[in-house]
Amino acid sequence: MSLPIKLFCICLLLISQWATAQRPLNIGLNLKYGVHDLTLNTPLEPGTDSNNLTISALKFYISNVKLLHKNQVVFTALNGFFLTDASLGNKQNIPLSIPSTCEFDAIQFDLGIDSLTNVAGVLGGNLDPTLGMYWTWQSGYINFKLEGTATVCPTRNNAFNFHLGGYQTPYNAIQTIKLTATSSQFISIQFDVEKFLHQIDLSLTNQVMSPSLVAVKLATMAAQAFTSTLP
Amino acid sequence: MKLKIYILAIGVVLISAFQTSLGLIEIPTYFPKPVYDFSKNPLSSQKIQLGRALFYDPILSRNQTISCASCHSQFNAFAHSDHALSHGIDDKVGTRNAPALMNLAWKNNFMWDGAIHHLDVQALAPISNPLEMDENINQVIFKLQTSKIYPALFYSAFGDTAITGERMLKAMSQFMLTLVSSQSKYDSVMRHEATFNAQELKGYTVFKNNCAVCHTEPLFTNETFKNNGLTVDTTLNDYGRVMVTHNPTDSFKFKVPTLRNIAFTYPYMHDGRYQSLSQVITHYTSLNTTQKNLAKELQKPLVLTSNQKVDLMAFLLTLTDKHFMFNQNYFYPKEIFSGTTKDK
Repeated sequence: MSLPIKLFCICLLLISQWATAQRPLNIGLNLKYGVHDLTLNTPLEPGTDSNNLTISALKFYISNVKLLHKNQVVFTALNGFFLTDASLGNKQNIPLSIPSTCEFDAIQFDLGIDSLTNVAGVLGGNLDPTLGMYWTWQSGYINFKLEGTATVCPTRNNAFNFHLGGYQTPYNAIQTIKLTATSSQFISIQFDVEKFLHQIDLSLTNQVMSPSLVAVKLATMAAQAFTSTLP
Repeated sequence: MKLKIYILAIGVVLISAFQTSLGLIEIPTYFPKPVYDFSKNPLSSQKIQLGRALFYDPILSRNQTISCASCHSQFNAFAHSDHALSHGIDDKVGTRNAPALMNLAWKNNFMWDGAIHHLDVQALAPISNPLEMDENINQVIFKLQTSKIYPALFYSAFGDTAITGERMLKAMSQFMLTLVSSQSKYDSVMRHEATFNAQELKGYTVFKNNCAVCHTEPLFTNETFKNNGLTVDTTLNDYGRVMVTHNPTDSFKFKVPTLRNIAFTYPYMHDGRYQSLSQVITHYTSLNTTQKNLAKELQKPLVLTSNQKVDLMAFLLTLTDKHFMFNQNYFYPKEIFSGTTKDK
């Protein structure tokens, strides 16, 4: 290559690096039951729990992921609808690519799908309605799904089903969650099923499967069960 | 010769003036703008054919016996005639009368209670309803993936053989969007190609004075939910729209259906309680106008002479669109299914 072309290539390389210098940021989601990792279909408090609590399914949508610095949004993840599914393991990852210079002190995300996306018709990928997170009988996404059994449930097979969704006022169940996060290569977020379930009397509240005020209340409680751990 | 050219030119001008086309569906210029967002699902003839195959294919049901066409038959303007409540798999009787399918691009929501808010997701409801098709959408996808004909149809429509819920539903929407009814005698009159006879004209006046406030031209529905004074059937206890919105003022409100092709979509109302149009008209002329929550449009008592009733029915018959009901493009696609069924 001749010198001018070499210089041109070097310039291009420098410009492209300056324009799009990115670094990876991994959001690690840890699904827990108290201090333990969440395992499905096994008694969660053996020996101490006469309720014989098991979880058979936990799935939820995370969307609208943003990074904040001193309460200002400094990064928004584009096209980000992430479906967490405990049947794939209790540690899941949301890999992001952010500008190298990005500094943040908090992460913010929604638990669920926003109303505009809810009315946008059929979508694909993580939003495909065949993934079991879409109500067929009344259009709309299920933001958060938790299913399991507990002896105290007076239902068939002692089952409880929490399918939390709804996007129209007053049954808008989407929740915005903000957690502390430091600038580094990873953010560690916990969802603690025990924190969520212990606020519920399963003998009374065990089937919530449509948009309602109860669903909104439970969604608020689910949001509060998310925490971040600093490294 | 000059006259023929002159007439031909006028004909072309008239046709293009009164029809705009999205390429694959004809939309009269006197129709309002469609609300369906075609940019998210642009029409193609291959996708329409795929959707048409899916519409007529009982593979969507648990035991391969029920297709969309089982309750939505073309010769009834895609309604389910002869049954007050539609029946599905294993002859299970459902809770409502299947509505006619036409002019769907102009609808903001679907079903008698508007529970479905987008055409693309409507098919999920009958597929998963245990009284209708009793199937799981994932199982449907699996059956399509392992079928002899669908991989090729998906390839032709989408450029690769990936079969997903999104693609299946969008293809079905495309076929359903082509079901446009706009060639009844009424439409010919609107296009100045025909005229009402004296009786139809009188009926049209009765219609405009009493019915058009909810059954608004040219779609013959204003797409709202109304309580039209039907007494609740205590064997069904169907409260309509309130079951979706939980708003008490929506109690006993049901979607205003279109009156197009009404002569062919009996029986009438969400539970098919009226077998004839004459019974429907009598319902409206004998309403208890003081009942709670009755639509305000119906609170003034409706009085019609028997001549006016007959005239009104004559007008309603002008909404029959034979072109729609005999359109070959909507038929069972035997060329796609030939060789896959037990018959030749």
